[in-house]
Amino acid sequence: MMLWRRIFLRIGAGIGALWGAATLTFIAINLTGGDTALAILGGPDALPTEQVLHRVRSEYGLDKPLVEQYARYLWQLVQGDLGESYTLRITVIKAIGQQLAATTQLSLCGTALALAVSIPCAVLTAKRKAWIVSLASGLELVLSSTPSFVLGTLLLLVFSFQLHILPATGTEEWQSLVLPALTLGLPVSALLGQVLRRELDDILEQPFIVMARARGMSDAGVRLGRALGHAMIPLVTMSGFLFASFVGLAVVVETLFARQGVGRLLVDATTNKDVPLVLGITLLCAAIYVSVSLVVDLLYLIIDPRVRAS
Amino acid sequence: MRPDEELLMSEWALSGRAASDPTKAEAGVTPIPNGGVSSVSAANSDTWSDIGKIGLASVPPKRSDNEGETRLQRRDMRPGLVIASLILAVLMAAAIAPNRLADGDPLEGNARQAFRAPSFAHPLGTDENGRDVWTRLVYGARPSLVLGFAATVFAVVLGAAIGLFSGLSHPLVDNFVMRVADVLMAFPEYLVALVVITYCGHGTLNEIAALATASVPRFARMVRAQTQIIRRAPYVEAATALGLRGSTVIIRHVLANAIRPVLVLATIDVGLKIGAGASLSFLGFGAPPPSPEWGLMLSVGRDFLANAWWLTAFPAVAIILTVLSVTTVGRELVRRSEGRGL
Repeated sequence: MMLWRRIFLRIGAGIGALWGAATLTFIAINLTGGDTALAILGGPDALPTEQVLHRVRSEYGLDKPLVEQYARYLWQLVQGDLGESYTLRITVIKAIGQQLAATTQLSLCGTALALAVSIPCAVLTAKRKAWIVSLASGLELVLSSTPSFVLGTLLLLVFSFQLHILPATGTEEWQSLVLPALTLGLPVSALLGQVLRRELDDILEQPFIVMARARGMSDAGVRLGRALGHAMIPLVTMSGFLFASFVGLAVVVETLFARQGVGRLLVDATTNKDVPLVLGITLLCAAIYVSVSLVVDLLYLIIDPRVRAS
Repeated sequence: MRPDEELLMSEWALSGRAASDPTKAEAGVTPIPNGGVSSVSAANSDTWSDIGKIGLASVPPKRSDNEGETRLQRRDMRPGLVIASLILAVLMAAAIAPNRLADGDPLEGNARQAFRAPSFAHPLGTDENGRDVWTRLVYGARPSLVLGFAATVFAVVLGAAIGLFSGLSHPLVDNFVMRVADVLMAFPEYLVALVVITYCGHGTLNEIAALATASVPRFARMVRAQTQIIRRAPYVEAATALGLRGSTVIIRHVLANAIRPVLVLATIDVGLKIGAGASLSFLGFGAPPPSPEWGLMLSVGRDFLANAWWLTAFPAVAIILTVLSVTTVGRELVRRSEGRGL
């Protein structure tokens, strides 16, 4: 019974966090300082007449008291309505929806690449000779310290403009996805690699590993068959959270490689001061983050007996 | 989610998440986990000996630290640490007196000298307006360092004020403030920075404000966690019992002890913020074009990737080396403050 109670409490906390995020977003919209109706009409340059301003205010419910606007805002959010973009003249949901596929594709490729690089690297280097460990951790440190726009520019310079083996831009062929996925995935793989190796270092000293070795199990068998499975729990958690933060990373990558996507949309919206669009994308990211952490916590509660007992 | 996890996650998600985050990170921001920090569990940090440690736990927090590995890493980091300190010294010198390291004007061009490859006269080549790349890099050190330090200092000061207030308030107020911080931390740091820029506009000052705002909740959480531990410490009780004024106890005992581990962690943040600031400049939200900012130089150099590799390669190396050396020195400080490096 305790378990169910904790699950319900956790779900409640997740919904509370979403509500809080929505409230903050609403406060942010109303903090714009300027006149929202004026912004909808295209800013002060549009020189709208007083009647037009009035009509827009009543159409968007801006003449109602704040509490009523807030309730209306929440109700629209529940229905999946994030408002309308000032510059694109379409709903924010539609604008994001048009770009979501490209960003999802990029994020999935980046995550896959990060896992494909970090897992073998950590398995091969954990508890090895000192120089191997320091070489790997040094590389990881360099990669994780490199801002992704710097990494991306260097990759472009080397592979597109010096070696001419990969295209610099475009979205058609699969080759055009290689450099963006590398730019997105390599820093992440460095982070995952660091965490995974630390886990493996700890696990490889546990009694059950010593026992397996004593029974004559090969080193590869111990690492892959016994240790890796245990080390995967934090890795899966982390890659979930990193996936949630990929929109932020996509901002730079999509700009750099001239790709379509939510990140690009966000940069354009920021440049054009398109407040609903910026806040819509931000709110979406927060929602993804909250959902991921909710799912992860629930999984821990169900899978991991240690968490359940605590 | 446990608060200690969130702390760590937000480190990664910056971004970032960093990207950087982590997002943040990154977020064109590249997030960096605190290599040596994460082994101290928050769960056991209410004892005497743990005061001064910051509670960042790995997921799930269960194992004790592996002392052998740390010692190993520490020994191998030595040459790296020396190099990192040297690079930092050069950067400081460039930030304080750029005219000593490079002659010429970073803004004055000479069209006849445009696109010269690295040579004896121009060791790092010249850009599209004939300006010396080395000179511009040297003059770019100051804005980068100022941005990183200023953003971190703002974030720590604001975060410390909020965290201290929250930690010492009535539990109801404390709970409310921390829930708001939790919600704010659900937004990737890099996106929060972009939201702030949407409102405030472009420019260096706004960039600093944006980066600082994004990490205030994180620092508030850290300081609040420390405050919660320290306010119950025997020496605080002793100071109160001796009849010291409340404000004196708070400033001299609670704040002084709560902020120390946070300051150490903040040194790593300086590196992250320099990287994040450069990527904001790269996106065009920083200072306008002629100024010698590294992110901006990369952004402009991108147009000439095909014919002038030195316009992007050298600023890129400058950014990487800067972030790397600040991070390396910061990690060493974290390690030492935990009593493992001495």
